[in-house]
Amino acid sequence: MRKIFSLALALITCLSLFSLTGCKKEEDVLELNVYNWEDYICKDENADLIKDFEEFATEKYGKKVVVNYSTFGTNENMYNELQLSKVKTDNGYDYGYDLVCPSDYMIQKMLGEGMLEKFDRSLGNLDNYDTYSSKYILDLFDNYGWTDYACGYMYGTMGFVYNPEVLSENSGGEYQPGDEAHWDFPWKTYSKNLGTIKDSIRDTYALAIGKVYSEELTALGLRWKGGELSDDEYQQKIVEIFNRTDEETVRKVTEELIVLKGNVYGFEVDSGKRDMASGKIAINFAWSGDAVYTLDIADENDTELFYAVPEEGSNIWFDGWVMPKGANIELSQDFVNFLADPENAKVNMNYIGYTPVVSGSAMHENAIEWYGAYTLIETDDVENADYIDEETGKAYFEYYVQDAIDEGELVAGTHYIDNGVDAETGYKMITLNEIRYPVYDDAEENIIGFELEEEVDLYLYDVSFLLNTRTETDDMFIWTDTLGRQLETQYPTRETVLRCAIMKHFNDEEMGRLNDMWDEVKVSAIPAWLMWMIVGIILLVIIVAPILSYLNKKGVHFTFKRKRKNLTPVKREIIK
Amino acid sequence: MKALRFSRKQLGIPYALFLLLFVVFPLVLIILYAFTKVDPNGYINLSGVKVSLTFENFIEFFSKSSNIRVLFISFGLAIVTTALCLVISYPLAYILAKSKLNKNGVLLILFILPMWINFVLRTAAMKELLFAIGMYNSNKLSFVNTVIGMVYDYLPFTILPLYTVMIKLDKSLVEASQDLGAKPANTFFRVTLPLTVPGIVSAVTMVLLPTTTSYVVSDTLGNGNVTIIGKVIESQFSTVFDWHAGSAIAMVLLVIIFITMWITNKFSDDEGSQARGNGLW
Repeated sequence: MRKIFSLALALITCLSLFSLTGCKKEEDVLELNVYNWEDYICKDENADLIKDFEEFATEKYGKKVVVNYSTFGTNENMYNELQLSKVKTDNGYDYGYDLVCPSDYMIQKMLGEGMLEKFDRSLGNLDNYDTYSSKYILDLFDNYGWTDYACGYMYGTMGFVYNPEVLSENSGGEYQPGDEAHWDFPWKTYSKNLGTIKDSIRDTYALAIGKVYSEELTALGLRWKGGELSDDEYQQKIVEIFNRTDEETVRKVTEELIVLKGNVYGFEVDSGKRDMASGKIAINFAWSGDAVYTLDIADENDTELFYAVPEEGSNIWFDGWVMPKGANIELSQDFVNFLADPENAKVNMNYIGYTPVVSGSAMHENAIEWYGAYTLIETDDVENADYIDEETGKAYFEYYVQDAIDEGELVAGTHYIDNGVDAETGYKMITLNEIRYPVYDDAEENIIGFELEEEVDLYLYDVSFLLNTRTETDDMFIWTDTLGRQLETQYPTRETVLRCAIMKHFNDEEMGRLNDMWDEVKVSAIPAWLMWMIVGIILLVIIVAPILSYLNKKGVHFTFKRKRKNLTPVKREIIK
Repeated sequence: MKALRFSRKQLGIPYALFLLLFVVFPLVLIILYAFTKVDPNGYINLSGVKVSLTFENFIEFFSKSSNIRVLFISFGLAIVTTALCLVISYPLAYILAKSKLNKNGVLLILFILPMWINFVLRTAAMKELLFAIGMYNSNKLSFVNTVIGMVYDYLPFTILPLYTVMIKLDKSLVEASQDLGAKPANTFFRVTLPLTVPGIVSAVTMVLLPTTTSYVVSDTLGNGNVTIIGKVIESQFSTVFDWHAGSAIAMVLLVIIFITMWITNKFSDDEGSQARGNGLW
């Protein structure tokens, strides 16, 4: 009786729990299902953009808004998941997600298959995105006809992260600075076992295309620089070359990649970052966002790494927000708009390391703060100081070259030597060579100055191409003392961006060719002895063993016969 | 109230259900996918996609030379790994089983303990270790490194079955052979080895199949230079998104595994009957 009673009690508890959760569901809750790349939004204890958005939206809608955030590892996995979760409705399919963040080619594929919902600008809640997004990205989307279906999120280039120190040590002087800016970099003999390439078909294909058509690409570049080709014409040609998938090209790519496979240390997707920083390898074919991360962690280990985009041309990619059919359009647009707020974009950029499409003066200031050249000025105001030397206990302000110039404290030709324009890089250069001398005295004769340990070349780096928005079209510069590092990785110059192509979505037939190529490359040729050894073992097991066991049953013994005979005399002796 | 009583058959129901749901049903799906192909004019409706029956997936698989090479590499790797595992674990299990010290449990735990640590983590640790001893600076060593990693990961799976067989080994049989004047080598080959064949067979079946498919090890330690059949199946499912071709490869693997199992079982049957005493002498 007791048992039944307790069972009944348990049942009642269960039921009441169910009804409770049922009650909660009935309460008006707005849900936003976001499907994004792993580690692709700022979400930690200090700053959680998703939580912030929930608060923001709850206030806006006057009812609880919940973001169901899930992540994927590759575009293909995301696509599969969408296909599996789709439900048929009256007007087509419903995909179970409101907002997804695929890459360029996947957006193209999904758009082609009619999976996407249109963004509705009449709702008026995409103003942040339209105001603060980079003009370059918006124009690009317009040109490709994606503006109605996708909003950019992050973008970047592909290139080589390299360690010049290790390379010159291991190459016996063969490595020349500048080699890294060419596609044959990982093919060089001195790169043997020092480089890694991506374990993904599309990226490695781009790499091989760059090598196969390097001459054609170089010639194009020269014609473009010589003014023979306009920017648009040059872009079109580059895009055409990087999207070639005819059989001849694929055959050449296969050959080059098989050679490359013997020369590189291996294929990787994720381990390259750590391997670069720890010095296991010296060349890593990487996405720019990963490159920034690699450079950062290497800096912590006192290793100076650099990033270069090949001069022949390269691949530019972006990830963007799209709404699969059946999405909650207004709420999704709110989310996109929320992320396009420069304040949030800064937080996001700091966390992820990739370049957001959000641009404008706020992002320009942010970039100056991160990458601009500055000097430390001693101050008594410990509370507001930017930097405190733990050993001496002295407090310092960070004083940016940019500020000094903006405020007229640094005037060309008076306090520093104006070196004009650098012939090779095309950057404006100055040399601050008045070491430990004040640069400027203000009215009260307080000394504000640049105390530099050594002579430093400062470059005036032009970021206006990527940081201009449609409303802010002023020139934007950053005074910096390093090139080829984080700043250039995150914000490539106009020239670099224009020589980069977007790779399109390949159709089934083209993808089939690429997959075959990939299998051919990834699966190594087997040495003949190994092949015969395995064949031998299999034959032995399949043919010889059953025969032996059959004979064994029939009383014919092959094994240990001789030894057995030896046993008999011993036995006899014992008997005797 | 009467106490609840279950018959043997009833106790088997949960497992039968489990088997049906998670073994038989997926297997049927794999077979279904392997023998079908997406075809707009197809007559079978597979979760909303029209498909038709075909052998094409298999023909495609066997007509690509890279696939044959993958099979060779996978089974080469599997055979080398299994052989090395046996060579290392056989004496070890023997010592464990025969040691007079009452430390068997402790010793066993020493070898089983690694299994408590995450598989991926162990492989990553192995990578650092191999780098430290300088085995990790050339792509020529990728295969060797993969073998080392596989042996490391699957060693416990060979020690355990061998140990359980050896601990049950009748000592008097060995003594009898020694009494009758057999040399130690003779005793080993004619008495101990045949008696432990069941252990060897289960060790082989536990190592051979997983090594052909555990691409985590080959990816991490082989730097992507060693491609095994498991990786090919994975890429068919997640990158190429051709579930039909992927299922076909899984089927091929399944058939090969069945063949090897059948052969090894035949071995153990024959030798097993010997172990019971008939035909041993």
